[in-house]
Amino acid sequence: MFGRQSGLGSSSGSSSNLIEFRAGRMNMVGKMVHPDTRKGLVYMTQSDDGLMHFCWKDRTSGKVEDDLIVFPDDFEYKRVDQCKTGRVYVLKFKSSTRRMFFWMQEPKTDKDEEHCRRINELLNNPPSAHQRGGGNDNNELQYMLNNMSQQQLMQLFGGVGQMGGLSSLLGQMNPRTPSSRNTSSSGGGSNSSLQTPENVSVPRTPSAPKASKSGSSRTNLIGGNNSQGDSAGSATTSDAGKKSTTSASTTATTGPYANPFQAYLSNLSPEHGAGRSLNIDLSTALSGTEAINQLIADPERVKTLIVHLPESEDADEDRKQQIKDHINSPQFQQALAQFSNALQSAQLGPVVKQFELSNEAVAAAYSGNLEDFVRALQKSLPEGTTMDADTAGTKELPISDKKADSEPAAKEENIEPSEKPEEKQK
Amino acid sequence: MSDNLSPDNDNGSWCLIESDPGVFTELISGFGCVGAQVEEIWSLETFSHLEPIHGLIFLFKWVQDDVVTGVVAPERSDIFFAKQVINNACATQAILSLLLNLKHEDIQLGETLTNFKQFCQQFDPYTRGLALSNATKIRDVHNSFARPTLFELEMKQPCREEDIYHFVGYMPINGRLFELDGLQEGPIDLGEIGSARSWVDVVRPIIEARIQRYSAGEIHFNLMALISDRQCIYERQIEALQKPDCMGTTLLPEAERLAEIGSLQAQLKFEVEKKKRYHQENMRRRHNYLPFIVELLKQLGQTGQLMPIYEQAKNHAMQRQPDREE
Repeated sequence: MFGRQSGLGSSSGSSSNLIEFRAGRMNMVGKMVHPDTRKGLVYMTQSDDGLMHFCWKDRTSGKVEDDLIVFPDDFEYKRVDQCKTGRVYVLKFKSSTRRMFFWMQEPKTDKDEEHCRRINELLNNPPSAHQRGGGNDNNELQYMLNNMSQQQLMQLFGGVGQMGGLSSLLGQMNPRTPSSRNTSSSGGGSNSSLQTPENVSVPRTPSAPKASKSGSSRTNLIGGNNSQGDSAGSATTSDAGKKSTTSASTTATTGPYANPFQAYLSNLSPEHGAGRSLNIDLSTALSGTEAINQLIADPERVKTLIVHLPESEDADEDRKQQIKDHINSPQFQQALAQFSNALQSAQLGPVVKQFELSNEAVAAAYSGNLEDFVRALQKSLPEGTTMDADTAGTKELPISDKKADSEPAAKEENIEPSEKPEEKQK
Repeated sequence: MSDNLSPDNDNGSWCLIESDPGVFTELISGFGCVGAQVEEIWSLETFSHLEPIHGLIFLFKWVQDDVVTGVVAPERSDIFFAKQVINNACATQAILSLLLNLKHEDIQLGETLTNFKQFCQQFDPYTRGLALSNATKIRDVHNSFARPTLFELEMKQPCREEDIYHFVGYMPINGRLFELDGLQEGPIDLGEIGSARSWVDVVRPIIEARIQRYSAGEIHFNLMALISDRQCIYERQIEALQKPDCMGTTLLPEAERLAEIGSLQAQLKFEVEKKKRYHQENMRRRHNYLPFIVELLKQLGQTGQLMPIYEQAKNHAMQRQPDREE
């Protein structure tokens, strides 16, 4: 429909590049940067496991010389302003001082800026993978919208007071009340049948590289159009049931969300950087099961579990019931859903490592494989490997405080081919 | 508690908190204010059982085209209005916009809020907003209701839903109905209430109109009422009935009196349990479940029950898949 669907619908995610342009590399010699004169290609792809790759290859030999796995918010790609003569761009590693420089080899300069913008989008807002025969409509829509120029967006939104062709699509969305976060829909309004998965993590909306404060010009444009139509409000999915955390954001504006349509976009994609086709949420299978009853029938198990729960103010409260109540609570369910999601996004390796689980379980967490993780836990553990409250207590802190340390470590491991052979074999 | 703050700006950031009457009720008492409670309202028709209603907090999606329904009043010394400076402080700002304008015998503001109000009395709305954003005690209470960060990687995902919602307060001040919206330039005068009707009757059509507008666009909203602490009210009423020599209750036949006491006691019990439940929920909100989750999964693994659970979850996920493609 909008002519930029080259990446869409292709089921072999790893062979179609999400972006590519001709660019040469620069080599650092001491503190000076010298261009490598070879003809090259900068491109980004998403492998089947959902990871984003930033690559450079020699166009003459065909050899891929750089293949970096990139995670959101780790990198920034921008133009080097000091280079007045050339079109030089730098890929900055936020967690280190490493830099990679590239110089444009595209004959025309008119797309330079667009390429730069697009790279940043992909670096920080990886698309959901298009699998299972092309992915679903919502993902494609988002992908298209991400790629549209301002002109195309204007056409899309049509004239004053209407949202053009999108108004019918917007009607399908799934707004939820804020307080229905824990319970089924409440208050006025309705819950449409289209439910976004509970543990939706929201990718960033396509705007300027450091998207936290400023809206892009496209944002303002959409906002401007919306000011006319009262259907503007329909553009949002509240997604109150979503289980993301209350952290500082990178895209959410510090003021009110100026662009309801951005909210729509950001709520569409169900998974964060997900290459996985299925987002398995353990909380959907846990509450009220016989399994829990069996577990708490054993007083020793009750003891080991209860130390990780807040102290009950009611001294008489039955510990078994306490455990059950917690497990059935919406707060726990959301935490478990978050955990499931994060594990499958291959983000929990360093976190899981701190809990004295088997090496297999840790490896599964690093590779984002929930099934392997489960299997690893099912294998009998050596005696005495249950956690005690003290170590668990201290282990919590490093997770938040040492963020700077643990994150790059994880990235380094992801990048080293030797550590993750299964990812290279696509 | 400090783990709730983003490391990026750990000098005074406000966290997003859940819009839930339990959260709001404990938030208020956390500020040191006594005698108030927040209830969620489902229907605008019958809430006489919640009276006296001091104010209403309307939550909805913030949209740029929002129609201003009245005139922004010129600054008045009898209205405390603060502009919203920090988005995440929305919930607290909404509640304070009501509390700081309230003069009712049931409610005592407490030291923290009274001091804050006095401190800002002479400021303009914007400066008041800034003062609120820097009000450490108030902010700390607010942030104490935020979810703990289970793992730092999750911190990259912002809480989109709270970003989008907006809070607006409605309350009567000195005989007129006002809309208090921190994103506006000042309080909006919605008209005189008059002695013939209750302020709720006056605000009802205004809120209904808003609801209509948003329902048409499938926007979700919540309506919360700031009311007096029900437990206190019931206790007072029971006490009054138990002393038939006071007030005019001597006119009640004995049977009716006892029945009334019984009914009030049942409602009292309900309120007490509700508070207990709120407290439990808030405790759970604050609790970092990560160690518990890992231990639980470990134990389920040991007893061989984890795989079946996983399989079941997988089935659920697969069943959900076709829905997403609608």
